[in-house]
Amino acid sequence: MFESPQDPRSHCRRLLDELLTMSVEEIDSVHERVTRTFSSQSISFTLYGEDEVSERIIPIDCIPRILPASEWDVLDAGLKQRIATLNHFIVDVYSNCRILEDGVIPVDIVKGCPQYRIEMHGVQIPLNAPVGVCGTDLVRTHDGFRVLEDNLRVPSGVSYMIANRQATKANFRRIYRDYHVREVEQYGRQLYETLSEFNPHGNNDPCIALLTPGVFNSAFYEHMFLADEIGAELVEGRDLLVSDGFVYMRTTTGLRRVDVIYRRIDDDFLDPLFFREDSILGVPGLMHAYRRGNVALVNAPGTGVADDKSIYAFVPDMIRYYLSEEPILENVETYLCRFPKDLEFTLDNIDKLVVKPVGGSGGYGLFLGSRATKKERSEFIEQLKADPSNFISQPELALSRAPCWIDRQLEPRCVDLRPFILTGTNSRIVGGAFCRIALPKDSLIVNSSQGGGAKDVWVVDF
Amino acid sequence: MLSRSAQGLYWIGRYLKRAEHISRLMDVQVAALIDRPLAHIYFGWARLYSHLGISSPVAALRDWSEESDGWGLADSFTLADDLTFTRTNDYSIYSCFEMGRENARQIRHCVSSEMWICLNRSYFRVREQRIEDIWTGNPQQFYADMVQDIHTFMGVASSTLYRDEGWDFLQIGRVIEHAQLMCALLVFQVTESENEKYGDLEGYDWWSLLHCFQADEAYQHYHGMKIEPNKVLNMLVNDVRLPNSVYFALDQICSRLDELGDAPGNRSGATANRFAGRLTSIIQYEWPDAEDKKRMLVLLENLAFRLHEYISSAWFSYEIDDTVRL
Repeated sequence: MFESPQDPRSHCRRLLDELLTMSVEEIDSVHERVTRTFSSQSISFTLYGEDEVSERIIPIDCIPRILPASEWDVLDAGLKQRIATLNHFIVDVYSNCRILEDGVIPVDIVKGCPQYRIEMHGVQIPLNAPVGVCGTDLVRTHDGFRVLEDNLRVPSGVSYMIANRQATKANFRRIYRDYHVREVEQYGRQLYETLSEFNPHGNNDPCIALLTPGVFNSAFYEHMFLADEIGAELVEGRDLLVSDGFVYMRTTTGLRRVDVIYRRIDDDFLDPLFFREDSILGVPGLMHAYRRGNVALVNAPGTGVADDKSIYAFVPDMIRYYLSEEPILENVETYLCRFPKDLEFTLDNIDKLVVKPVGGSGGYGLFLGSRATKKERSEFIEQLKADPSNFISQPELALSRAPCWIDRQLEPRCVDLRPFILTGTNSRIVGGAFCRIALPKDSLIVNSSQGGGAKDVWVVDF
Repeated sequence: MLSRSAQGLYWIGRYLKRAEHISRLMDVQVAALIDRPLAHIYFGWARLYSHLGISSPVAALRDWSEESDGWGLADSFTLADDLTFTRTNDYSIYSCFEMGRENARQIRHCVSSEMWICLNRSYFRVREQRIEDIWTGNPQQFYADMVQDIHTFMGVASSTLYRDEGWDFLQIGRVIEHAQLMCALLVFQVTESENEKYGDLEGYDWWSLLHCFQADEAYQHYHGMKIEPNKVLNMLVNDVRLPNSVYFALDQICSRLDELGDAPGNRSGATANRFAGRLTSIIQYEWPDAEDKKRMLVLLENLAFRLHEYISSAWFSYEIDDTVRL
């Protein structure tokens, strides 16, 4: 919000003025109303502790984050460029492997990646768009936005983006109108249109199902929300069956053919005949139906190969390779510990770096060198040396901070930004994003699964 | 509609009806603690536990006598806690709300936002209280509020839920639970009223039932002040004008099944429909002249359980082989 302590950014001035006219009680009451909206609708995220599972209401902060449209439009172009590249890459590695033959990326990084699915080799991917829904994490540092990671499997958070907007809009009515904020509510319609484009049967009214692992999944609220938004059935594996190469769902009037599945289950659990045979969440025979082109799966299996943290480091090269363009959005500087030079650098500077497991997500397994004790550091170094190819390191970033209403006062907290990109026959991005907050003071971890909060993002035509 | 969603709505109806039923009986029971003789209190607890088919956390079965407290005042706090807030008792009001909400959570997109908010509020209200919180104040008010919450939920459902088959399954679940619990309750009532174990209950056992099911005013209006067990029984079983009678519930099931029409497993769908018709005809044509009312109630209770199985195999878990592909 501020360029420097006394100097608010020009597009934030109006919001700041509004806040300054409000008393502590008034802001507190807005905050309470916004929070109540979330709790009365149980807008939740399930946390898995060591001993117990708890359904946690996402902590929402009532103060919106404001981004000027000029800045957003750069992000929009950069994200579209990036997803186009990643889709090229995925289609390529499951067909001709041109990028590997040309030596742009080492073969072993791709084919040794745990998310590389040999079962996808030779599969004709509908629309050449294996990633229909992507959530890309961006962070702003002192020199602008950078991509922290691409989530290409089952990215979550979009429902909180919409719920945040509904709650915030209702409580800052006047200023919302004054700001001409870009809408996010059309996300549901855009998602429906995108999914419909994948329909392999060409019928006008495709039967779309959202496949969820079930009520115990962390993002179950989101699955319900999205199914409702797009008018799809929210199905679990047990609701579906494969017969004669087609997928059907069990309804009260008989078996109904499913044309498109927006799956929110990891690859491993999709089909016990192809992947993990102990999966009870998936549908036996689903991959057969998919390979025969009788059902579309969005996102396609195997997309995780492109959001592996080792491969992330090569995305700028991929952009140059496939699109012959320079990347609009830069990566965070990344060291692949599989390379001796990078490993040496990481070990020498471990107190200044963040080390992440390459296949990890949700902030699990992350090592923050500057926050670790001597003992923790030496233990982690042993772990790193034992399996260096499993880790990457990045500098600890000075994340941008945004004012949040905490304990009845405005406090700065680190935030990131996750816009969602939909890709069918073309790419679409709504003007807004899921903004995650690291709630504890001085924390850098924003993940919902690690207790992070959320706030609304206003893209304003300022 | 997805079979699992239909099943979820059906069980929401069942669990909330069960919570309402227990709340009503608890309301009468905690009122009895104020001024009824110990025999009445013991009878009330025995009636609650026996007809639900569960055992009490207090000594398995104590023999009642005038001298001993039996299940009397001393144990009432524990028993009320067990039937209201105990998480491990599937029949506690808390558990019924929890399971109703859990079903709603799994099929959240099939219930209206208003229904979800309403159910969620009630659930959190029960979850955040303890028996100590209500016991020293006015426990009757708590149980009355629970009933009120469920009525509000059904009212909200009635005003906001789209009238597709989901609505029918919600209603079927509600009334089938009511029919089963009422039959079980009346079996206990008829059995124990022939028994002199509790001494003279002075009509309390029958009056309290009328009161539980909002039939006391109608009874007084049509039959006067004198409590006659046969008249009470007839009213609760086959009075077509009493919304809480067994007949009324079964008649509603028939209407809903008619609305639903054929099930994917055609044979079982038609069977469920015929079966519900058979139950209503038993009450309509056999009940009035039946000599052995208890036997008839046991039959109705068993048939109501079977009706649940027919509905389940017709719409929720039908065989795939002979099913229509749409």
